[in-house]
Amino acid sequence: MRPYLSIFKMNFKGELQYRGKAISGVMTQVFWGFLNIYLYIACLQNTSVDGFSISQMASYIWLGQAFFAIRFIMMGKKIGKNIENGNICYHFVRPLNIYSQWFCQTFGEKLSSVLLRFPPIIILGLLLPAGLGLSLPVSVPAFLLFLIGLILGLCMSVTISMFAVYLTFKTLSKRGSSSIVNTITGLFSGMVIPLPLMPQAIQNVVNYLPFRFITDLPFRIYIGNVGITEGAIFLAIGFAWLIVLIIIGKLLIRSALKKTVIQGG
Amino acid sequence: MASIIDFQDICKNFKVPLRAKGKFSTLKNFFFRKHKTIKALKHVSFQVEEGDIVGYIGPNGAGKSTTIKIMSGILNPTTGSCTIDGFVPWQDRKKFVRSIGVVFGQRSQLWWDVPVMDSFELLRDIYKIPQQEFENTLNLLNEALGLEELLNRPLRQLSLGQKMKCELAGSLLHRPKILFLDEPTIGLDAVTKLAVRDFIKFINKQWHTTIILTTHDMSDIEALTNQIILIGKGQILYKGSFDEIKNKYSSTKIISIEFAQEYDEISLDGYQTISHERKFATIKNLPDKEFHIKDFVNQISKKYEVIDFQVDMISVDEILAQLYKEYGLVER
Amino acid sequence: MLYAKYLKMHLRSSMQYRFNTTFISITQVLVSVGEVLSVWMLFGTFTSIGGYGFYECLLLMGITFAVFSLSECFACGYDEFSDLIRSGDFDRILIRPVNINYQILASKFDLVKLPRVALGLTISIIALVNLNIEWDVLKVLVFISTIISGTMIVIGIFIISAGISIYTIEQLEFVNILTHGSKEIAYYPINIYAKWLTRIFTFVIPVACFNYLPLSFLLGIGNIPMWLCGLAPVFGMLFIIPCLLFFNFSLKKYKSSGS
Repeated sequence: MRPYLSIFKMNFKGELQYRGKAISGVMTQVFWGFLNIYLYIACLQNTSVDGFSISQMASYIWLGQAFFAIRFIMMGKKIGKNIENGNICYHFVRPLNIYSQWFCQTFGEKLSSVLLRFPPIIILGLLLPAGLGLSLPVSVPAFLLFLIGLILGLCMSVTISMFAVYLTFKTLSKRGSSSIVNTITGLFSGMVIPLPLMPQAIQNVVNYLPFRFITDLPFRIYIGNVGITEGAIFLAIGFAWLIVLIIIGKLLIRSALKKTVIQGG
Repeated sequence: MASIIDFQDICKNFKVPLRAKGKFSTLKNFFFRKHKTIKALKHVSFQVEEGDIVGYIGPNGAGKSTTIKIMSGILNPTTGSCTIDGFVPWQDRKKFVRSIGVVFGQRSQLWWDVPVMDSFELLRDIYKIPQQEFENTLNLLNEALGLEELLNRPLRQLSLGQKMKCELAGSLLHRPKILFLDEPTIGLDAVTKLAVRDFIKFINKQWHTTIILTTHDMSDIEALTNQIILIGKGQILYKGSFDEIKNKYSSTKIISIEFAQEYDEISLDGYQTISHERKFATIKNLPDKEFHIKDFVNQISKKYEVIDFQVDMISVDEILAQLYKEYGLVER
Repeated sequence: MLYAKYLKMHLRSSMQYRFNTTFISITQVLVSVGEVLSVWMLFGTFTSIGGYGFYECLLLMGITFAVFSLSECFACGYDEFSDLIRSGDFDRILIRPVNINYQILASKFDLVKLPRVALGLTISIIALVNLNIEWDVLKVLVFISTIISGTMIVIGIFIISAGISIYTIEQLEFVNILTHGSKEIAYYPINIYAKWLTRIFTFVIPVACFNYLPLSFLLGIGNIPMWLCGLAPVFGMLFIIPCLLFFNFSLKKYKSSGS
């Protein structure tokens, strides 16, 4: 466990160094938040959606901006590049499991960028007037369940990132692979449009796909759109998905490594 | 006649962020950041005459690259004036850059994925070189460097040495009056190194090209020129003949000795021990003491039992190391 | 022409990696299809957004795809200017006897964006056909000038962000507000947003000139004078002038600070 912890720590610290990046990241998220909220206000003005009022929608959007780093699928900064240029061979000579190594690396980067960025956005959201800002959670149990959901979301996000790593391995194109995985994830995780605003038929499918466990579920528990019991059941489904996806990811990476031809010898 | 390069009292300052150290430094750096001004060049002046080859040497971070960047018009100096071939580098950029060629030893100006010839043809168009002149120049470079077989291959397939040959050719296609070479022999094998040196000499003779060369390899300097400029900590420390410096230090001899038995300490009047391990030792004479073989043999045979010894001249690299040390350029 | 030579070199170079180029082009198109899907899904729940229907939004999305992809392809050198500085290639540009802006334009072509241009234009035409517009010469001219103007405005935005990246490499994500923010906001008619947002993206960054203003002209709706809506794309083209001035000003700073 020690070496993996060190890898995590290295990447966590590395990310903390970029002050300017974090500050400008927060500003970008705030701007995006306003953009989305005004768009959906324009939508919800004439037609209302059950269990998703304008103020609930605003909370959902602000949570999404605050925890944007969880939602965005990115592989560890160097992983994709190293696969493309062949430097990845250094990773093979370490006495560590490749999947776990990359998992920790990505997890470290992701967690530190979440921790750096969420407090200012949450504070700003809470200061804005209701209907435009972030409301408090509907109840204490809902809030606790929301926190558990966030941890699940963080793990799920990293797990799905590993599929982008796998695709990069197969295609040797980091850019193409990330954008495929991000498009699919974005569409079905509620990042592009909140899931409650999708047509009911589509929601019935998307609710059971792994993508919505990244952040959609915890956010909906927070705003009260999903109740405590229902939320707990869904969380269990989410954890089941997580285990399945980690196993599939490990198997895929292992098979890819066996066949891999490293670029540049 | 005016010098082709006239560098007058040039200063260059950079602002760099200051990083805090110690506990919570990551967090501290995150919230507070201070800047400090680094003086990369301090009142640097020198002249270079047309057709000369000048070695520009100094330890890492001395200001060599900054000087080259100012001379090629990439950076503006903070204060001071500079004329090169009648131009001020940072004015009239388009006209000025026609008279210079630059080779950065660790970067490339040629395209990675396409045959070298295509890159050359693009350079022909960039510099608007007439076809006939282009062909003549290329033939000449071809003969001198042996490029024939390389031209139709993409750059990525070439070895480091072959790449450097192509880089050199690429920066000479427009026949610049002045050529800046930033570490042109870095990483090259012995044979290629010699070829590159011969080529630099050839071009200098053929076209009377003025060449400014930065390098860490003192054998480059020995092979190419007697004129050096030594820079350290942003200041010019020495300008002039390389032989002069060599003569100054050539009185120092390095003596390797093999003893018949182990001694705890070697001490000889006027000599300094460089290394000592078991029966072997290396010593040198102190600067104020001239080396006399008779005196040395007398001294050593009185105190110790010697099997063999060998006297060597100090090497060029050691001279440079000593120079750096003398000027306080070596970090401890 | 030198520009054509550069373009040819880029083509030959990217043909070396045919699979990679094709793969990325396909994913680029997929990304856009995903974005169209999201609009389509919204209109599955709502019948109108801020008074606009599905095909109005689709038209704007198509125009946005086309103008951004054109800019990302041909003005990639500005869009990724910080890479140019970091790799040292910009120093190389400074020692060539060719205009600097010309060289930046020629320094990189992101050819994988071209299929997206085609997709954008196709979507726009599908939307236009479904919108029941009474066509005349003037409307055709306005549509064409909208595409040209939009491309110039986006290139202007890239030029500004390139200028900013000279001052600070770290703050790049902030520059995203300019580039990606303008893209995101242009997907929908920008007058559905709050007044302050609409004003910024009309008067400061003239996204409106390839957005709701020409749309109003084509549909003949809204309370802004028609002649103003029709001429908006032409006004938008002027935006590139201050952008270039700012960039040239930043260049002086680069020369005095290094990087």
